[in-house]
Amino acid sequence: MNSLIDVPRILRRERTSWVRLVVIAIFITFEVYSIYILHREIDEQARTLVYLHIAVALMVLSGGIADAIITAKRLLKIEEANKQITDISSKYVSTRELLFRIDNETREEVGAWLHGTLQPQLVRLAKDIRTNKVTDSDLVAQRVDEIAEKYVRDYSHNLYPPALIVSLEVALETLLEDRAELILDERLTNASSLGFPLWSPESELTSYTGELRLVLGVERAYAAYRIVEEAVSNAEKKPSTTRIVVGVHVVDGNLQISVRDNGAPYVKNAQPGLGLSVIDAFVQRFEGTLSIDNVVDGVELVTNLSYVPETAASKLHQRFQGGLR
Amino acid sequence: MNNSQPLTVRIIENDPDFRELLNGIFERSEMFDLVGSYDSIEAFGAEMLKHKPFNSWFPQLMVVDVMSSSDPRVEGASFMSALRTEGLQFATLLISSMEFGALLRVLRKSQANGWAALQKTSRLTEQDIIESAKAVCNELVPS
Repeated sequence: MNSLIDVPRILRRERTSWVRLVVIAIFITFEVYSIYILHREIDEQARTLVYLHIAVALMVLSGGIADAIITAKRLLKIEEANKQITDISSKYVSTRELLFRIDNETREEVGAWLHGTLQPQLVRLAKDIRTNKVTDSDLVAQRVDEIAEKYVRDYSHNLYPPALIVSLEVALETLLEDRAELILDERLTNASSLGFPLWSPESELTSYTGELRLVLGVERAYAAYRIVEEAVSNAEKKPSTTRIVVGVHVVDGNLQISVRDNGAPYVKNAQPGLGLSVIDAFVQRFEGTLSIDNVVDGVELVTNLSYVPETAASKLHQRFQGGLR
Repeated sequence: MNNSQPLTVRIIENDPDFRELLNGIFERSEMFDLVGSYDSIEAFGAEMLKHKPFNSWFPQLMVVDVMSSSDPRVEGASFMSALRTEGLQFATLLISSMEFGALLRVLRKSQANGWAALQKTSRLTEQDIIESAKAVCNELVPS
């Protein structure tokens, strides 16, 4: 855009400058014609004055052109900025709509659970106590336990899995148990080394040569978990699916998540369901990419979330400055 | 571990009622010697840092509520695992309301023995806790 090659394009875009240039051109034509007429009749002194006029006219012309270029460049920048604003606005609107949808569905689900599951259980228990159907305190405790463990705990753990606080590995192992195979980057497992001397003076970081444990951060780990949860759930919805393999790896500055199933092929251009919209929202949040392809033995969903690898050791060193010795 | 001597225990539990319950159980037991009880992982860590070298201060059994921190990102299981990876020898009895199946599988990939878990319920008895504590300590007894 800064090149002179763009000048014709720039000028085409700016009508005001065109008008200004036409006026200047007319003025110059008039000047040239005046010079032509006067050239033969005037003396040397007057001719100098005419040349001076020409110089002024040329200066005005080049000033006009420069002004037109600057103005048009500004307009182009504004145009591009407006386009970006429109893009961001449309993304914002679609994200807002998605959030609205998710918020509605979550409220609906939690409301339905509180109203349809928890409240009747509590009402039934209270009624049984009042009508002396349940008189034994052990039985009351048993009923309360059932509500706490079977309903409340399971539900709260579904909303936000506590295993995710321990690690992505534990959370995914819990989520995928008897549902899918998990292949996890060694650097994201608990078995990888912290590479940080916690207590022994001889265990220096510099002496360690193996793979160091990476930390994803709370938000990225949650995004990875939700992407896997939604993708596996989608794969399971196909009756033909009998095998699902989940891979989570750190590749070229990305956290790559793949979910491959052996079910029916993916229909391109189909209306995306909520699950896929949720995945896409997380992908956008981390400036990533999402692809779904039919492969030889099934369908593969791959997301890449931007991620600059950070070791647990470097975080611990920042916090404890060298080691807990 | 020598079974003729009481086994030393330190407890990390942020729920005061449950911590009191655990303190009472291990104080009453002749098999165990409660040497410390903390209301958070941070409080335990701060105390640990005052006692270098840590290996002589560490007990034979740690009883840890996994989510015993005011910081929701900090948890006890990985901390215990990291300390054991560094070479400290102690058994760990984890207590929490979460499901333990996957957590124990993951922890055992790094250290095969010395892990046990109890799910917090109102049905949990003194006997359950003592039995689990004994069993997990026995896992680390050299054969």
